[in-house]
Amino acid sequence: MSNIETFPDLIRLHGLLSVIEDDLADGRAPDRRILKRTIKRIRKIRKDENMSLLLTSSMPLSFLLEDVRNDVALKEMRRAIERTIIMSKFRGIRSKIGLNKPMHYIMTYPVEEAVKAFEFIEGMRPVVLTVPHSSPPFQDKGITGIAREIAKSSGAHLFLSKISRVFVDYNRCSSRIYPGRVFLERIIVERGIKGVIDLHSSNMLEHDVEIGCFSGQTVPKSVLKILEECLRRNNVKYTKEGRFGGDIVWFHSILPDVWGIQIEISTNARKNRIVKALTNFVERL
Amino acid sequence: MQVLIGLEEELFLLNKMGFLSRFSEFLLHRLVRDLSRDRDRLEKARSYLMGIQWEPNPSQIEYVTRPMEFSELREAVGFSRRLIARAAIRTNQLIYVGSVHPVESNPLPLNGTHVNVSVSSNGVPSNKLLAAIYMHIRNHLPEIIAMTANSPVINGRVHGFGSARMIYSRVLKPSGPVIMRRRPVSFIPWRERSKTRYGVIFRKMRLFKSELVFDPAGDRLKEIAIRGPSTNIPEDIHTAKRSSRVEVRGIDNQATEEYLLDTALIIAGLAYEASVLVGRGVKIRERRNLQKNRNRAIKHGAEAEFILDGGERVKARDSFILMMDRIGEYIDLIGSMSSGLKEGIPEIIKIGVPEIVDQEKFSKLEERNRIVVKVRLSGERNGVSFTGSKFRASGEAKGLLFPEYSLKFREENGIVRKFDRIEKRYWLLSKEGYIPLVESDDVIKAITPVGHMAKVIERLGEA
Repeated sequence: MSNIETFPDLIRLHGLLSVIEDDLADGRAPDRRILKRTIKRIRKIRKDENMSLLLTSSMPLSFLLEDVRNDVALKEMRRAIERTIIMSKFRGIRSKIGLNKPMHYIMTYPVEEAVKAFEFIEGMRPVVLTVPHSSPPFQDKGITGIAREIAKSSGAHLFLSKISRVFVDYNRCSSRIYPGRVFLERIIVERGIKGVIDLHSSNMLEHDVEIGCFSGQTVPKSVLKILEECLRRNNVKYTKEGRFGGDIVWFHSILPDVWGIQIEISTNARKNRIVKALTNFVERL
Repeated sequence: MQVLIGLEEELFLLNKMGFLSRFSEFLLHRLVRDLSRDRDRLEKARSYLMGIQWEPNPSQIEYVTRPMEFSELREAVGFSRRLIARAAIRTNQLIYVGSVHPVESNPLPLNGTHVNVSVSSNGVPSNKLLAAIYMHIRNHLPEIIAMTANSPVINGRVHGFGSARMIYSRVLKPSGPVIMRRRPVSFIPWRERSKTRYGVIFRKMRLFKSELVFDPAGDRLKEIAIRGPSTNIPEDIHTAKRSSRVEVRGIDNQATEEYLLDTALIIAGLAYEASVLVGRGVKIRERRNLQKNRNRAIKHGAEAEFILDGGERVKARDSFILMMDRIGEYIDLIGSMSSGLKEGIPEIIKIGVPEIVDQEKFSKLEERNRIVVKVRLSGERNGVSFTGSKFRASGEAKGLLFPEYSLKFREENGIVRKFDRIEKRYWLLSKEGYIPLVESDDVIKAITPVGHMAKVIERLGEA
């Protein structure tokens, strides 16, 4: 995916959208010349197929499905461009979210079956715990129990996958049009969710917990500090340098409104300490 | 003459519904566990295989055989495919031996087969012989590419007879003619520094009197390459002389073992013919229309038309049959052919193209990425909400157009060789949920997601 040619146009488009956003925020009508230039830039980017597909992969579905208010649409467009700029420069992100080739929305699992392929347990707090690899085969061992305990004791919402990742991997961008992901996107907006905690487990970790936040791009420092404090207090060894994150964290975190953290838990770690630490974390938010 | 052949074949991993499954690591882990408990199978694997490796895409896996005589190769290929398929079944997966996945290759990931061949009287081919084998096989690459092209469907659409591997692969570049040069010391360019830590490499003068150069930068990722210490390939400089061989990489996967083995046999036959020509003192030069024919073979496969040295035009299949008539006697010395290639029938024709059931109206829009659509539904119908409840949809609906695929295929002991039917059904993802679309629905508006951005800005101007 080469997109060097239209990269400067993307940067300029971001600048133009910011100007229009400012005008609207101040109650002024946007300058017609600026609008014309913006449309011209968008049309230029549209001609670059790779850049166009990369930009599409950064757009929230609500922007494409609904007639949202102008200010909201502008904000979503600007954020989509920001994500695309980051992805253009850091190819590692693309491979982590499963965007190794231009993204096309297709479904490889029947729609009628896919609507039953997740479980959502309502909570009270504005945090949602997601467990995208909770069903066998190739499930993350022990993580469903941990997630249920944390959700029960902290009052967080809980999203569980009911299908193996062999068929639908909710932590990859190819699953974005699947009912589970669309539902998750809606819940985040409708319930005013502030944070998404994506839970995984692995038997190959050096520490009890590895925190993934795309090098801090999906979570503010203040939230990360609270998490670290909770882990330390409960004697849980952790690292921030390990796991990068997946598509749930990348796509559903829209700073400053919604943050996302991927937490990878070692199968050898003491479960009660981790449950306690993460419950404390959710409660303190 | 001793003719040794080695094969490298990439395979896809599928889930039970026929879509790519990205768990090669789990499969290999399982395979190692199983092999360590089964002494007989382990011994067999050791004798046939150099190793099994994963590719950058986790839905691909590759086995590499040891160099062996053709009579052994048949057993080795069957064993290797069965070995991987067995591990796939035990990890709830299947293997697909095709070149492209008919839906998810877009156009990547792509599979291919590498055939390594060496001909010698004492186990170590001379540089002169290697160069001749390389030039001779390279001269016949158009025929080989055309008759092995095997990627009938890509991204849910008919691709034709062309070779997707050769069209879309980012690492298969055309190779140039080989030259022999005497160079006791080599310079490795900065851009190739990852291949060796040295910038200057000294050669053992007595052993390697000359260097075979088919690419000035020593790049081995070509459709055909000479491998071994007497080349300028930085990775090969310190390998053993007996590993010298010619590697043909521009071959699509063949679903059946018969076609796969016959392809290897034909390449070995050409190598044998080259050695005979060298013995007769014939100098092998590049054919006149090689590049033109190569490009035609890549684009049109078995349907291509080649230009012969004299300027006459012949069908690729006829040109292939002419070649087969010539090398038949050498092939018979190595082994016997068992597939339709003997009669000039490529596998793509023999096993046929899957049936595609499509909703063309929507497919065309999707192809052009015009997926933000407004449709007038031709009748009332049930939609499915995100949580599974039903809702009635009628009139106009706006949303995202996408296809739902279902695949029909035959599986034999964990191996899928062919897809029989590809069914595409289009849905509209609206804010209420999923609405099934039918051909009689009217598309009022269809734009690309980026075009939708422009519309939003235009709307601002109007306001």
